[in-house]
Amino acid sequence: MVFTPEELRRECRPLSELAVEALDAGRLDELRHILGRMSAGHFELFWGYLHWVVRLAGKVLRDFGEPFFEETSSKIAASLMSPYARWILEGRDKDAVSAIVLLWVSQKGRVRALEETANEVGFLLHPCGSGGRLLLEAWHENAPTTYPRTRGGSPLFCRLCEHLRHALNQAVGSPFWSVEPVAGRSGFCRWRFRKRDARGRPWYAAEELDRLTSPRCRLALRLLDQGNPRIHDLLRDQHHEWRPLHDFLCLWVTSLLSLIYPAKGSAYLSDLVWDTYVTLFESAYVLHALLDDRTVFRNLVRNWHYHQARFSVQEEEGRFVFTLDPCGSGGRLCRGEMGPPGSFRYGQGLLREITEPSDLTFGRAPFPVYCTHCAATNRDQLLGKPWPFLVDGDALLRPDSACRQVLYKKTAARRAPPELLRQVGLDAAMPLRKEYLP
Amino acid sequence: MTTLLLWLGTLLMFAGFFGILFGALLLRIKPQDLGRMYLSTTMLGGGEMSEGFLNRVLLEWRANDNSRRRSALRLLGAGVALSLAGAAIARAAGCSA
Repeated sequence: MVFTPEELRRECRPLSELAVEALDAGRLDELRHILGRMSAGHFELFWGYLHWVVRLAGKVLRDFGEPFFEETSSKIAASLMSPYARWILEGRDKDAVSAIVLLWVSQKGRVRALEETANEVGFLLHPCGSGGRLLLEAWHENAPTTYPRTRGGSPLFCRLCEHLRHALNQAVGSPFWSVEPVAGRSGFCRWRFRKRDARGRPWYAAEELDRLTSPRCRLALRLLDQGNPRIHDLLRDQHHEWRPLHDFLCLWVTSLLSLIYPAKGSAYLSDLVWDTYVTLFESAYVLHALLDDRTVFRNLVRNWHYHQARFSVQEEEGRFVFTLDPCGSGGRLCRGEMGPPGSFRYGQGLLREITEPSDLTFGRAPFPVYCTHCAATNRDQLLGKPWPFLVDGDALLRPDSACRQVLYKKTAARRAPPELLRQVGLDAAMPLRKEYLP
Repeated sequence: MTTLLLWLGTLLMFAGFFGILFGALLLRIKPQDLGRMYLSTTMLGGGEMSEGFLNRVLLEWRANDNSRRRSALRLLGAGVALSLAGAAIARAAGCSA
């Protein structure tokens, strides 16, 4: 066994809990170290979602052309922006603006509030943590096939962002949100939200704006530097801070898969998931090969916390079994817990289930479309890759059931449970390929 | 004194050489390579697009092509000037010896 039961219990705690413990014990150097880890805690997940979204959009654009891409993205944008539009129509303009800004604050770019006037409130993304990041990192130049641009030359993520803005403005019936790229500064954008009825009143106090545009870890470190240790509220459940962005990106992916399935069929859906997601998961296998069991386990625990899951873990001979009740993406989607309460649920709006069984649905139907990527990566792992993330496809049979995910230890015998092989249409697991040998 | 001046001249010529080298590289670098460098620096900081020196400089060059060219030409100019100054000092020191 890698851990004693007590060690395992301690290892499963979120970083935020460790930070509170260090603060209460006065171990401020340790707290600063944990805060550094917490500030980057969600980055792998954000990075994964960001690239998955753009890869999906890129493949759809490549395979079906710009009119289909435009139609699909605008439908998704209308659906995703509908809760914000509802708030604005109810007169909660400020709540909607704060919620939209918060989506970008969690992207680890830089957001600064501009001077608020009687008519508008503005923000400067310098640079933007999503579209700007992709642009600055030159993905469209280094991998133009996977990260294509539109005919008009727009980077894909920026085009998706334009759709969001357009959908919101259309839903509220006025140019509420405008975006202007900063001239001569790639990746920088200026946002303006028009106040519809503020009668000259300011929306935000200076402190409120500072809090809105600064991630909690940065605020906590600033307060610590000022000698103020009353930062419990900033630390507690910090892994939930980026939940709105997590859910937004997850819903974008699910909406696209839900639109593609009836339009292009399950064979194309499978192709789409393999091309855009399974290849992206490669980094997890490389990490598994490079790191020891303890580090791989800790990494996975952190990722499950930041993936918004509630879970328990059992260590067995050769493996760790995670019981996810629910999994932070697919499980919460099945329970209708994703996004603003009551806004998104399978069978309502765009979100669909797959109606015919295949390798992509663990051989059962109806099957939630988002969970297809787990079936695809299961098959991929069983075909010669390491096993850091095998999912039991029979676990999540009802929305209220828990999902089960298994992390195999590096020294474990490569004996796959027969039901896992059956679920993805295989008779036997292939030996580990030599490039992944520890 | 002569030895010291010879050392100083050589040092300046070295500094000038590196100025010319980095200036020329920065002038010729492809945007996608600068993008890769920016990706590496942000990844080292856990994805943070931070205000640290290296990150800030790379961001400036990547986001603003004119700024990159200006910096490259300044580096080239400073490199040539340092090299010439170093050569002059070293020559003068050599003559006086």
